[in-house]
Amino acid sequence: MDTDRLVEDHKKLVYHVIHRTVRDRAAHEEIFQEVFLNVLESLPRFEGRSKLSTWIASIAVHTCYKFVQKARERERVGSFADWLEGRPEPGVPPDVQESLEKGDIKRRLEWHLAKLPRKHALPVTLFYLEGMSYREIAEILEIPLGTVKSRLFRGLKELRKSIEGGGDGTLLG
Amino acid sequence: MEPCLDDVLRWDYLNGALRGGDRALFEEHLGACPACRREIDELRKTAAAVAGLTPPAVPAAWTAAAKDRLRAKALAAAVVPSGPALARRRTNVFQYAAIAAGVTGGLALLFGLVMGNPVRSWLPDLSAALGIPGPSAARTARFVVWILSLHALLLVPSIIDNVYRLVTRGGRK
Repeated sequence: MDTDRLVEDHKKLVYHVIHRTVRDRAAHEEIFQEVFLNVLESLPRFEGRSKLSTWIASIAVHTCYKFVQKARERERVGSFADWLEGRPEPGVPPDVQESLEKGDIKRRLEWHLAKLPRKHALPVTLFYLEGMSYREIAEILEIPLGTVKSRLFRGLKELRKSIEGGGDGTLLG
Repeated sequence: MEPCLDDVLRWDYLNGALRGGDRALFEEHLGACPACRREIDELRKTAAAVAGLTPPAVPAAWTAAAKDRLRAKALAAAVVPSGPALARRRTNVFQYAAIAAGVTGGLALLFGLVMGNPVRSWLPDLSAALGIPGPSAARTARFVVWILSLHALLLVPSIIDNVYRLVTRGGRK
């Protein structure tokens, strides 16, 4: 198994998933390593019924969930589905939010996307930035195909609302 | 505002997946409903903005660290025996312990029997035959036999090893 290639081919996808689901940036690197170690460990059980990238994304999402569960053991994180419903825990200090320049369109947009609940942010990211199909997203998030479409639609609506509510309406032209 | 149409339908229209009669009906509705028309128009712009986002770059140090850890783990997995091999070794340890206990017990029993009455009764005759006079000489002879017996104990591990090999070779046939 070429482990270097495994990391190289999927690093962006794994990073995206972590970025969208866990707000604690200090933990991102640890989770990133953990995801790939989990992938290597589970590789003998990969049956090839889905694409390798779909399977890795699924491991990444579950690793993030377990990480949050472990990190917040005193609080009730709930089931995987409950966790997806939630928003990433606040992690970016308000002063940093304010320091984002108004003119930096992509960073502002990225910031609004990061505020969405995971159930909306993840499908939007996987669809638009990773080019994944509805079926792949459905498999990763363990939801029906129709739910993927409605979450994508709701995700765009929420994003629009957040942008307009944050006085960033000009971002969308 | 309450949506006039289903999310999945609106999503499909937004992505050009709505065809034929469904599309015609949807467009007919859009013509009569300015709110839906505005919403579709806004979401189209939002989708275009998200699709234009540049994914954040994965820090090079993370990639390097992940590659290193995966290489080390893959190497360790190649060196460390797999699960079944470990299980077999564990079984062998139990087998070895059982054989050691059996052999030691058997030898102890044999030693007790030999050093019991038969030997004690032979010792005075042996002393007389060797021309060693008196009870103190018999005690000395007994002491010498004890020392020789203790030396014989050194053979016990070798006996255990041989019995163990015999048993395991027989089992692998």
